[in-house]
Amino acid sequence: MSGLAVACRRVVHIYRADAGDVVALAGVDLSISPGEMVALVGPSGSGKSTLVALLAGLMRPSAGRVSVGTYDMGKLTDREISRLRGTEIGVVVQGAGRNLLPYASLERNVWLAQRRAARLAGIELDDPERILDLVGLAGQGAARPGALSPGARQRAALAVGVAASPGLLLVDEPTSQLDTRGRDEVLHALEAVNAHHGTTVVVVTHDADVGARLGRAVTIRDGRVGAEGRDGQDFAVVAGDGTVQLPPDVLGTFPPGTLFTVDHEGTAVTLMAGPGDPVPPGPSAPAA
Amino acid sequence: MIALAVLMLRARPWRAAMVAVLAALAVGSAVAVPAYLAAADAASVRAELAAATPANQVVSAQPPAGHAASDGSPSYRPDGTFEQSGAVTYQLQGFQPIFTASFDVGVVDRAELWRLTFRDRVCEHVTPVTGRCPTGAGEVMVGEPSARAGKITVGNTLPMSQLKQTADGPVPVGNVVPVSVVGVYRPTAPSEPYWGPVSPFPAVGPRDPQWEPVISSRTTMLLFRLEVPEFQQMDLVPRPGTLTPRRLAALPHEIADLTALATAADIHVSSGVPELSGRVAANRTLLGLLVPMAAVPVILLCWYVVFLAVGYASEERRAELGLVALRGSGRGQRWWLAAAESVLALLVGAPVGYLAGHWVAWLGIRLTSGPSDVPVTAADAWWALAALAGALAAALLALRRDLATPTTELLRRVPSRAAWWRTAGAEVVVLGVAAAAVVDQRTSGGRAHGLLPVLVPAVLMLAGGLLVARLLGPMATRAGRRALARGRLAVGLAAIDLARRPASRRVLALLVVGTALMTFAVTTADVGERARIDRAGVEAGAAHVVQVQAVPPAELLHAVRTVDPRGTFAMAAVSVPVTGTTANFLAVDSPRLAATAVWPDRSGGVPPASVPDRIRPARPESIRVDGADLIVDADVAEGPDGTVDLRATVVSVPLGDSAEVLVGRLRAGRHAYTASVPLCRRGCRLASLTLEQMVDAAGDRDLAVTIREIRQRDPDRVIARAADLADPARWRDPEAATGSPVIAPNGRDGLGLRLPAEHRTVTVKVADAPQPLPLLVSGSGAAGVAQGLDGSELAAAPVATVPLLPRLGANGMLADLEYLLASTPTSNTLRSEVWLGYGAPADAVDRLQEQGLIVEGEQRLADALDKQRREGPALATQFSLIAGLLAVLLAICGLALVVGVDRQRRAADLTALRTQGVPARVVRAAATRGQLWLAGAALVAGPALALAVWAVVGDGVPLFADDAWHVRAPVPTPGPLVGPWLGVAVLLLAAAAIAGYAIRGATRPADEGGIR
Repeated sequence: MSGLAVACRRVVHIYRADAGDVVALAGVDLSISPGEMVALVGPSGSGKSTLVALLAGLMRPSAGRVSVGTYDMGKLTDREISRLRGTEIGVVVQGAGRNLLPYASLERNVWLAQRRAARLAGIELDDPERILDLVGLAGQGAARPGALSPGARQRAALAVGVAASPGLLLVDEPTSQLDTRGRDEVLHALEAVNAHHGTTVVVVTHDADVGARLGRAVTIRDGRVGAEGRDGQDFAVVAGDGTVQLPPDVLGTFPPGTLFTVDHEGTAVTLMAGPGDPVPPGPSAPAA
Repeated sequence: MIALAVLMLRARPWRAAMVAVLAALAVGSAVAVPAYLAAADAASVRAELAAATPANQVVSAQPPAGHAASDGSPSYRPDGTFEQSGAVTYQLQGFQPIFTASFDVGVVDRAELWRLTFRDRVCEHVTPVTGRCPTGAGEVMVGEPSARAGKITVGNTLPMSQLKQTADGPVPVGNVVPVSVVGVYRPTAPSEPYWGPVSPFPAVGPRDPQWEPVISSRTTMLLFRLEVPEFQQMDLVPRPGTLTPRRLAALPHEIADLTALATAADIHVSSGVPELSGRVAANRTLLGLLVPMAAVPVILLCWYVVFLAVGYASEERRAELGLVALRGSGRGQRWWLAAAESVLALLVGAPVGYLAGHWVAWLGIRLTSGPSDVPVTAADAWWALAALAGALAAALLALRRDLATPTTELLRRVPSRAAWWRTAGAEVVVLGVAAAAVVDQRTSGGRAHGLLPVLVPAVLMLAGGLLVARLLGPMATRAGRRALARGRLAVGLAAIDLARRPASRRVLALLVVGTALMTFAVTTADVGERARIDRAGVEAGAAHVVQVQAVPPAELLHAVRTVDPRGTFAMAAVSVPVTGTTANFLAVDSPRLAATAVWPDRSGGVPPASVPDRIRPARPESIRVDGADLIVDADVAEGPDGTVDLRATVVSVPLGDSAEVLVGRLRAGRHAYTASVPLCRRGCRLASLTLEQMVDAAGDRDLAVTIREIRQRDPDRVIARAADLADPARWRDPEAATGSPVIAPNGRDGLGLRLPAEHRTVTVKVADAPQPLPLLVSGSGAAGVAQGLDGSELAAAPVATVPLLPRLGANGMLADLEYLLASTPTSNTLRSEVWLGYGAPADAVDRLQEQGLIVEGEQRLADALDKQRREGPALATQFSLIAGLLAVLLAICGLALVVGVDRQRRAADLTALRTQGVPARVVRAAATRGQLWLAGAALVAGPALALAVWAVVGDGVPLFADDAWHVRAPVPTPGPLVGPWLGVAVLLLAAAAIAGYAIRGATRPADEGGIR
C-alpha cells in the first residue's frame, strides 16, 4: 500500500472535564503528502499526542476536519475507523511494551496485528518474519518482548505498527528513553518502513534531532502549528485563518497586544512595531 | 487464536487456575444438588422402607366372603374367579401377586384352634425344621411353636374339621378331613412383606399358635366342605427394588385406579402404600427445597467471585485490551481475546467441578447414611450447564465494561472506576429483596413454601454482608485518622488503605457472607439435631420402651418392681384415656423417672428427680389389712334396725385386686360385725365403707352409726382405733360438697356415719391418696379434672407446668401411678408400657416376660433418632454444612484473588511511602494488618449476622419432614459454634496473613532492598 496523505483543516479539540474545558488543539492546519516523513515536535501539553489521536481515529475533533487519504475521520463510524486502523493506519503508542503482548513472540504479535487486514480480500501482507527483518529484527521472531533490548523492543513495536502495511504510520515518542544507538536504530527502521512501503510516517517527539533527521518537523505550540523546519531551516506557518505564530524568542520581545505595521515587497514581509506600544528591548526583525 | 489463548493461560497460570477453581466450585456445588438429592432421596426412602411396616408396602384385595350359589343356597367358597384371574386383573407393575386362602380348623378331640392357610410360593419363604413343604392333597405343615405345643411331629395324621365361632366358643362343623403333617416350619423372614400387611408371626413376644398358620396345599383345603366362609386375599407384594422414589410417587394414583376397578367387581382394596408414599413425598419435597437452599447461595457466591476475578483480571489487562482495539481488531476478535483466558479456564474447571460435585454428594451421604451410590442423572448435566452458563455470563458481564470502553480510555494508565450508582443500586435491590422476603416470611406464618422463602436466610445474609462492608469505609477512615493523629502510623496507614480501596469492601462482604453462611449452617445443624433429640426423646419417653399387653395397672406396677426392685432401670407407665381435654394423660411410677425417662432439656427447671416430690406429696396412711377376717365394731344409735348393710371394699397390695365384702347387717346398739377377706391374706388396704339400704326396706328414718374400731383376725390386731377413725382427714366424704355429708362429727369416739332416709347408698373412702390428684402438666395441658383408672372423673390440680414432658410433648398431664391407683381402687385394663433406661440390662425384656407380661412391641429411642437423622431435613442440613464450608473457601478464594490482582498496585503505594521516608517496619505492618483486620471483622460480623438472621427467620427453617411436631425449635447456643468458628478463624487468618505477606513481599523495590 502506498502512503496516505494527511490533511488537517482548522482542527479544534476540546477536552471536557469537571474542572473546566481544556482546549488541546485550537485550529491546526497541516498537510502531509503521501510517503512523507514528518515529526511533530513541541513542548508537553502542546497538543501533539492529541493530534496523533485524531489522525488515528481514537478521538473525534471538536471542530474542523481531519482527512487521511480519502477518509474524513470525523464522518466515519466506529466500525469504519476500527477497520481503518486494522488496515490503513498503523499506530505505535508511547512505550514500546504497551504495543506488544508480553506473553507472545514477536512473530505472533505481528501476526495478531495482521488479522484484520488478513480477512479483507485484496490485501497482500508481508510475512511477519519479513516485517521483523525490515525493522532490523531478523531471526528474532521467536523472542518474547521481555527478552529484547529497549531499542529492539521499540523496533518490535514499529513492526507491529506496520504489520498490516498501512499507508500511514503514527508513532508516539519512539525514541524517548533510548540511547543514541537505540535511537538511530529506530530511526533507521522508520526510514526503512517508509522506503519499503512508501508509508507516510508521522512521529511525535520531543527530540529536535529526530525532527531534523526525518526532514520535516512541525512544531505544535498551544494547540496550533507554530512553525515548521525543513532541511535545517525554520519557518513560521500561515494558518488557515491567516494567523502566523511568531517564534518564541520574538514573542519574548513583543508581548501579546503589541501592534505591528506589516509591509511586504515581493516575498519579503516586514513587521514594524507601532507607536504607543511597550518600548521594545531591541530592533524589530523581519519575518519571512 | 486458540494458540494465543493458550499463551495467555501459560502467562498467567495462577489466575487461570483460580478461575478454574471457581468454575469447579460453582459447577461442583450445582452438580452436588441433584446428585445429593438423588442419593439422599434413595437413602431417605431406604430409611422409610426400613421403618415401614409391611402394611405400608403391600396392596391387598379381598373378595366378599361367601356368596349365593347359582341354586340360591349359600356358598362359602368364592366361585374361583378371584382366585383364577385376580392376579391378572389386579396387578401393579413390579408387584408380585400372592393369593391366600384360609379358614379356622380344629383337631378332633383336641383344644387347638388353628388357621389352615394356603399361600402362593409359601415354600420359598419358610425354612423346614423337619420334613418338607406340603404339595399333595391332605398334607399340611405346622409351625414350630404349634408343633411344640401340640407335641406334633412329622408323620402324624390329624383329623381336622372346620371351626365355627359361636357364643359358647368355637365348635367343629362340616366334614372331618384326616391330614398328614409332612413338615414343621419356621418362617425365614417373619416380618417380610411377603406375609401380607399383618404378619402372622409377631416380631416380639411369644408366638401365638392360634394365629400361626398351618400351611397346606390348595388341594388339602378343597377337601373341606365349608360351613364357614373361606377368607381369600390377594396381596400385591413389591419385588426388591420396586419401591423407588419415582415409583412411590406414582403408586397412589395407580392404587386409586386399581381400587376403582376392584370396587366395580365388589372387591375391597386396602393399602398403606399411599401413606408411605406421602411420607416419602414430604421428605422429597423438603429435600428439594433445603438442598438447593444451601447450594444456591454458594453458586451465586461463586458467580460473584468469578465476576470479581474476571473483572479484576480484565482491569489488569486494560492495556492489552486497548492494544487489541488499537489494531482495529473486530468485535468478535476483541471479545475472544478478552474472554478466552477466562472462558477456557471455566471450561477446564467445569468438568473437574462435575466430578467433584458427585464426590461431595457421595461423601456427604456416606457421612450421614453410610455407603450409598450417587446416581448420575440427566439433572446433573442440567445443573452443571446452568452453573457453567452462569459463570460464563458473570465472566462476560465483568468483561463487558472494559470492552465497551473507548480505546483511548483503555490505553490510559488510570484504573477505571465503576459507576457508584451501579454498585449502590445493586445493594439497594438486594436490601429491598431481603426486606420483602422477611415481611413475606413473617406474614406467611414462618413456614416455608416454595423455593423463594427458603432462600430468605441467604438473601438476608447477603444484604447484611453488604451493609457491613458499606460501613467499612467510614469506620476505617475514622480509625485511620485517629490513629495517625496519635502517631500510630502502621495502624493509620492500614486503615486508610482499607477505606480507600473498593476491593477491600468486596472482600469484606465476601468474607462476612461466607462466614455467616457457615455459621448459619452450623446453627441449623445444631438446632435441628437438638430438636430431633428432643422430639425422639419426648416421643419415645425413654431409651427403650416396651409395649406390653394390657394388664391391670397394679399388676404392671408389681411386675416391673419385681424385675427392678431398686428402681434403677425400669418404670411402669400407663396411658389413661381422658375426655374433655386434648391433653394426654400418663401415670408413671414417678420415683423411677430420673432413672428411666429421657427428660427434655426444656423442662422448665423441673428435674426428673424432683418430680416425685411434686406429684407424690405426703399422704395419710392406708388402713392395712393382712388377716383372714375383718371385724368392725359399730354402734347404731338411731335409725332402722336390720335393714342397712355395712360393706367394705378392700384392695390387695400390690396386685390391686379389689373386693367388696358384706361386713354385716346393722342392728341397733353396739355390735362387732365380721367379714371374711381371703384376698387380704397377703396384704391389702381398706379402700371404703358403704352403707346400703335393703332394696325392699322403707327408708323413713335417717341411720346414724359410729364405727368405733376396726380389727382383724388371724393374725389378731387392731387396725384402726377410735381416735384414728374419728380423724376426718383420714376419710373422704363424696357427699360433703352436696351439703348433706355422710360423715357426722363424733368427737373421738370413732367414725360417725349417716345414711339419710332418702338415700339408698352412701360411701366414705379412706383418704390414703391426695386429693386433688397432683399433676405435672406441659404446655396447655393444665386441667382441674383428670380421669381415674376406672374412667371416673377425678379432681386434679397441676403442681407445676413445664414446656415438655416425655411421651406427652407439649400437651399432657403426668401423675404418679401409685397415687392414681390409691385414688381409684378399681381399674380398667389400660395401654401399658415399661420404660427402660440406658442402664437396663440386656435381658430386661426377658425378665419382664418372665413376670407374665406379654410384649407386644418395642420402641428404641436410638432407632427413632436414627430414622429422623435419615430424613430429608437432617440430610439437607448435612449438605448445608458442606455448602457452608464451600462458602468459606470461596471467600478465601476471593481474598486471594483480590490480593493477587491488587498486589502490585498496593505494593507500589507502600513502596512510595517507604521512598518518602516511612520506616520499613511501619510499611511492613501496614501491609499485613489490613488483611488481618478484614478477616477479624468477618469472624465477628459473620456469626453475629447469622445468629441475627436465625432470630428473624429461623422459625421458617423446616426441621422435620412432617408437621406433627409443634414444639418451638430450641434456641441456638454458642457452644456448638465454637469448634467450627475456630476452624474458620484459622483458615481466614492464615489466608489473610499469607495475603498480607504477599503484599509485603511485593512491596520490596528491586533496588536497594526496599523495605527490608
